[in-house]
Amino acid sequence: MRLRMLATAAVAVLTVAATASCGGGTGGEPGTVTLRLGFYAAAGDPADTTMRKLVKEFTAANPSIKVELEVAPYVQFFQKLRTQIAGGQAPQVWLSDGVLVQEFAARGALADLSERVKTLDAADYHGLELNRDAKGRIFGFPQGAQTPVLFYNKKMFAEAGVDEPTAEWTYDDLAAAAKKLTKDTNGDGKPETYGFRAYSPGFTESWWPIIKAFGGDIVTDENRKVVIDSPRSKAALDWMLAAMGKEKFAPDVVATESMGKGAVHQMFATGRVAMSYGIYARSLPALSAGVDFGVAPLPKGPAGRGNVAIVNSWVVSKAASPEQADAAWKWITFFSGDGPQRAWAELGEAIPINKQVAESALPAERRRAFLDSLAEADDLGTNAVWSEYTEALAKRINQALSGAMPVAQALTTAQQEAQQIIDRFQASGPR
Amino acid sequence: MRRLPAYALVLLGALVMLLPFVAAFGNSLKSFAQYIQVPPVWLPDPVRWDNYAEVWRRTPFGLYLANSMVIAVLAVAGNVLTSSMVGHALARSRLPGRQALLTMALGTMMLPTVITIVPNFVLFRSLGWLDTMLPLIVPYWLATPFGIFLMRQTFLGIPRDFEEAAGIDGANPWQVFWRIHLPLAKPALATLAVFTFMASWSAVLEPTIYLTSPENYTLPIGVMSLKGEFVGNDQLVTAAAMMSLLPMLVVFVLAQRYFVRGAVSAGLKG
Repeated sequence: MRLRMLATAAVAVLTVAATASCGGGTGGEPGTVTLRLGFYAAAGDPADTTMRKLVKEFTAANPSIKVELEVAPYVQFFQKLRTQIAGGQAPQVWLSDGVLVQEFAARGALADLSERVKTLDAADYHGLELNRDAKGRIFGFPQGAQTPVLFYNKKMFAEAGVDEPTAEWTYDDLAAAAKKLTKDTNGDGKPETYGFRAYSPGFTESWWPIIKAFGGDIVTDENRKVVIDSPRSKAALDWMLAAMGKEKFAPDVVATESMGKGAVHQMFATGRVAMSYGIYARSLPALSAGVDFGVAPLPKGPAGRGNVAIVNSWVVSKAASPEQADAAWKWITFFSGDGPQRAWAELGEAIPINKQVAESALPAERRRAFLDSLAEADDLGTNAVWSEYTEALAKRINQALSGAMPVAQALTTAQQEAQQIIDRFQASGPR
Repeated sequence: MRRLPAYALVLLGALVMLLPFVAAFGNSLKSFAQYIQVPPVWLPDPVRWDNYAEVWRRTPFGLYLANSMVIAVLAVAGNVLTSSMVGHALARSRLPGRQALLTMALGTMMLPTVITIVPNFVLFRSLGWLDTMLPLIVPYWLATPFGIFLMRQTFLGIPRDFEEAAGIDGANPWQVFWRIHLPLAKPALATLAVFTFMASWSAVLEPTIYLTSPENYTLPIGVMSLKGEFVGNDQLVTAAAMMSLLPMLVVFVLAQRYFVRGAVSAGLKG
């Protein structure tokens, strides 16, 4: 008796669940096109709210286009997206992390936007050239740009009586100031506040630009040849090691890692370090923690500043129908326009890719440092296996920076292992 | 009186275990700036109960709760029923090749979910089940390897005398299963129910992959949807996590008596 009740109840609920869920999805009147649009944002965050508002404006202006949103936080979004791509169920247009565009493109998931881009004036947008692949094709249209600059805590500089960073600073100036800003207030031999944050598991704001500033490089030859193993890279890592070791003006790897995942980006916001490399989005935690900060260009090394940039981009699925692809492009050009770019700039998350908007909408005191750095930036060595090969590099370099492996050996090993990953993909059929 | 040191020790252990919970509760009441403060502070100042309200403002939290509940209850019902049926058959019937069947079922436990997620995704897509709760429920109605194993071991441990006596009284195999063996296996059933509930309640990967519309979200991915990339809304995430703990706590307290006994006896026979 009880079993029958249980079974009946189960069937009833399953039926309800199935029918309730069959409601949405396909359909729509003839002449309308349904566009599945994916982006990453936290639920209810300003970015989420703004994007939804912009989508509403877009569909109001284009009544023949119906947009279905697929939103998830960053990690979940890409986890799901990779499964969706493998299962032939990706959205028709989505926001991609700039470093992942080549990965998706090389696996045949993205439509080539080169022809469509020609209809626009490329000079009006930041990051377009950085998005060109080795063959000159463009698979992602810029949505927002990130480039690291030097963040500094004005209050800590004033308290220590140190002059604020200038565009003329070198790595020696950085080290000298950082030493003066490092404070051991309770006298236990371990500083409570450090002058500079050198190590980070996120290399965009750590060893990547430093190696380039010292004259080393990471990949060349259309981002297919790893060249990190050089005396100049070694000099860069030695500088970082000295900062964390002998000179003691930066927290070492153990101290940084022990603070927990993600905490490294909060060190500046919590006043643990007086200076840190940070991308544009790092303004947000600093602002929300009420830090009085300024930004300066990265210091000059023997070979320049080593500026790099990540250009997050809209991409269009190759599986989209011609109507959907047209609608997707319409959305991309809408988003790149003046109004939406201004709305997006207000969030303070990214440098607007619309050059006109960037010149007027960025906060005046931070504008030049970011825009000049972006103008000089290289791409971040993006290729089809970017996630894998940079992970291999980071693993060895982090070992070197934590003292677990000599720098020279780490660079040699890192180069070999990263090159193997790239070669393996090339051998499996280059596109 | 002689037990006092023992009690003190247990109390101390309990306090240590409670500490992370207390810290998390404190964190759920902080502002973001205080949340990331170094060195951390224990007591939030000011106490922001509004974090809890903010979670409800930003997300349909009640809906997430309901979804998780529906999925978990159906998953438990399905797994307990079907796993005990399969376990019973493998333990009691003279089915040829039953050992091989059991080994095969257990073998599937060795496959990590990430390996099977794409084929499963394709399967559920072809069934039209994406963005529904079905991929999170139906697999539990097809018996799970752990459930089969647990129930088989339990049924193996029940003496044959019971079913022989029932047989003499004219009970058919179904009645033996339903009226004799199942009631005797209550502790194992409760254990299986709690494990299934926990697995379903805290599942992250599958709901992330299969569910798209926020109105279908389960609690864990609803909680995680609050997590920002640059400004971690960690205090909100923690507040939401605190709230999502409550139902689990209730289930655990209710089933505690059976749960502990079941886990112990399963361990002995395993």
